[in-house]
Amino acid sequence: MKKPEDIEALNKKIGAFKKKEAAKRKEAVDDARSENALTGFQLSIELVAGVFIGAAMGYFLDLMFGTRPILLCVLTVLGGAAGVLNIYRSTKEEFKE
Amino acid sequence: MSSPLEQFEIKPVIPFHVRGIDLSFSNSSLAMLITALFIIVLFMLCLRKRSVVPNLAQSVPEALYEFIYNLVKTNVGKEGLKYFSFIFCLFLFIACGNLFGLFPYSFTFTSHVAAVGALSCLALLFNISIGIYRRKFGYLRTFLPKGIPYALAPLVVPIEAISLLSKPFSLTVRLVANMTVGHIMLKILGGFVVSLGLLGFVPLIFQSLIIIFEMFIAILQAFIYTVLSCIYLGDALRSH
Repeated sequence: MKKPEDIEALNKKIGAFKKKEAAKRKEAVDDARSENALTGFQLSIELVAGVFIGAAMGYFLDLMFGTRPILLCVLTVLGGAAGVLNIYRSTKEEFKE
Repeated sequence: MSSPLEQFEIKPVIPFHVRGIDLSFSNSSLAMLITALFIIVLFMLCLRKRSVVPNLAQSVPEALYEFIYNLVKTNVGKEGLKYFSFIFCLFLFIACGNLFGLFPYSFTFTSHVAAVGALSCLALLFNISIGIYRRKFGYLRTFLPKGIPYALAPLVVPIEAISLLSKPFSLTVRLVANMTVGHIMLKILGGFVVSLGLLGFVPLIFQSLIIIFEMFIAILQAFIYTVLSCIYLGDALRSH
């Protein structure tokens, strides 16, 4: 038979452990969040790069062929598609897991 | 108070002009030269006495070597180990350049689009030439992956071409943006330290924390640059 003081002490111990565990878990969530933010930032560059390169290619090809707005319009949209493709390729590995 | 962007200014160290083209040896070139010399001297000094059981000095280059070796092996595969020296050089040059730029009065050449962009374009050309050399006409499969009907070719080929060309751009922007932001932040905080007088110790504490964080970022960005170069090299060696 355990005395009530013992049980109280045990309760305190359990409470302390629970607090510790909760703090640890919250930290882990924060870590995952900042990591996700970093990944998001990296991938956003990928998207912008696609559109930018598409637009630049369109502009200079237009200058070369003298078809002023057509290639710029078409290649900017295709550049967006290329950006999405790049994002898909770089996250494909993560989705596999 | 000087501008926080002043640190990125390129100044000629040895002026040199050829027919109106500025080919001066600038502070950026000087930083690159010092970085390259530093790497060579470090490796020469550390690997002077080579033994099977490495001492402390020898274990530093060996650890770096093994780290990049495993990186290439997992990301490119066994056939990629032929091009290990290129990836190793890339990593060392960028990592040391980033770290070297953190010293006061030095210059961060990795914060310039011109320098990193040229490096990225060089890496792209290297990848393309290796792809063509290894796979001959099979390399054209990069632009039209297997399993895609030929009717879609007019749509897929430009998309793949833009995707290929945008890779060095995103590599460059990622590294340059990270380096530039960190250095501007350090400079602004440094300005606060001076202008706040006695209260300046508050930003000074922050600055000492941020400079440690910047060292971490310097290595991390070099690592990311290397990993992505490895992945692109792997893409060049085999189709998607």
